[in-house]
Amino acid sequence: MNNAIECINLSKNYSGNLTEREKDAVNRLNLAVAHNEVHGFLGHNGAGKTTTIKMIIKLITPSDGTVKVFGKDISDCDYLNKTAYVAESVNFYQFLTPAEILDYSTALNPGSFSGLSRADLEAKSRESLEETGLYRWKDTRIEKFSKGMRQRLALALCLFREPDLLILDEPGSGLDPDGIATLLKIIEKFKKKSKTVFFSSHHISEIERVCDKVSIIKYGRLLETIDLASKRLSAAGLEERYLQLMSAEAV
Amino acid sequence: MSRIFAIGKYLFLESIRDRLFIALMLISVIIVAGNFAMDFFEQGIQDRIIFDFGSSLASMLGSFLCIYLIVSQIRAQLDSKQAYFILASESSRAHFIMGKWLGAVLFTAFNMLVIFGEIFLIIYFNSRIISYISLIYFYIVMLKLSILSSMTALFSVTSSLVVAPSLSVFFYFIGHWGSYIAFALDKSGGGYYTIKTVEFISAYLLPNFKYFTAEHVINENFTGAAEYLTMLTLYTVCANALLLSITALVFRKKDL
Repeated sequence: MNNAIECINLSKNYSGNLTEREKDAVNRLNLAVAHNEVHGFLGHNGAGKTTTIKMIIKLITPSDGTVKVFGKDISDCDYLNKTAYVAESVNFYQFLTPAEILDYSTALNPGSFSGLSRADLEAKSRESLEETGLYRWKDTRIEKFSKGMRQRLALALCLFREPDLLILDEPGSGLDPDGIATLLKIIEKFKKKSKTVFFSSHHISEIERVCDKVSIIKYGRLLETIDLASKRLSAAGLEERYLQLMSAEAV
Repeated sequence: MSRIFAIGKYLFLESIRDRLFIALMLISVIIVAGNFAMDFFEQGIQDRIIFDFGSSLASMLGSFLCIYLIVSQIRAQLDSKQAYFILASESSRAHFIMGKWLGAVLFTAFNMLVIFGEIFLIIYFNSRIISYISLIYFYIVMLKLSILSSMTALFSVTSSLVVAPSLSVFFYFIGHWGSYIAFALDKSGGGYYTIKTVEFISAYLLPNFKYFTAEHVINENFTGAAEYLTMLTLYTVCANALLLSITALVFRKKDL
């Protein structure tokens, strides 16, 4: 069976200029995320997590290698109607309201909402905002929102679109403990619905709680993919393994 | 198409809620209305002053609006990652560029309509004359501003937040005064080939705004106005199509 995401020898090289040196952000990375799996992506700052994610969603063109989503090369297929992405620092249009943002998303992603009536969309919008605790503020302009509330809105958007593949880039940053709990609940919900979630994080406890597998990268190279479900690693165990891998590479 | 309209619609909605733009428009409306107080001039002269002053102000405000809107909606949103909302959706990068351009042009047109509408009404109440020239000049200004928006979109995807508006302003001036620059070079003893090159580049290679004035229509007393406007419209359509296509092509493979 095809994987939901497959990176084969994926590389991204930034050629140097007068102010910056040449850099391999991602170096021959091989990664596979199976269908219906919650897959964590762990690595230090600058390891290449965000670059890899951006290549998967076509925001960056790889220097070399291939990315396949749902078994097809991303350059030949249109998979973004089945995929939702939440960026590391969420920034929405400040003069719009959450209700308008969801409506805007409907217009931008007609494939995700085909066959739904206006009433269905309104019910779906209400449900997603309620689930993320934003329904009270549905008509409040985003300029008045805190960073955490904006992050919640990004999660509401994911719920609203209900994609087959959800890609999250450090979704916990800026969230309070309550927000983290909501985030994990949403990931659990996607898991129950047999959707695929791929998310990067610095928080080992988040990853350990919801992920089936975790891939650890360093300087753009994959060090190991750990099957958390079969190894039954605790957060402490995973942290220990992570630190071990990092120091082993340093030696 | 629906995605382009959605991007344009929400840009318009955002901009109309921005206090900065509303304040700018109100100030312009008040300044134009101030001309009404100049009742010490003869009626015909007063009308001319109201039209000249008001339309120059509108043209300046419109130029500022398009440059500011396009740069803040394209370059600034790419830098702040706000644009990912659109770019990571089913919509393509070409939709993004076209939608932003459409929204900026619509919002600028709304502002221009308010100011030219005011000029039209002031002249009407002052002299009971229907100022057709206000309507024609509104159209000409909008044609010019749509080209300026496309040009700024191109610079916004290829350069930084500071360089993009600077280049737009620079080429806007060249577009207006390219022939005068060649004339000035001639007077200062510049070489024949330099002058001819400046003339050629400003007239044919860069957007040429020299003919986007109401002067020709007024001087000919509206004779041939339809033909003149048709030519300007055709030029605008071609220039916009070319500039927006280049922008979309350049932006297609850009790493974000």
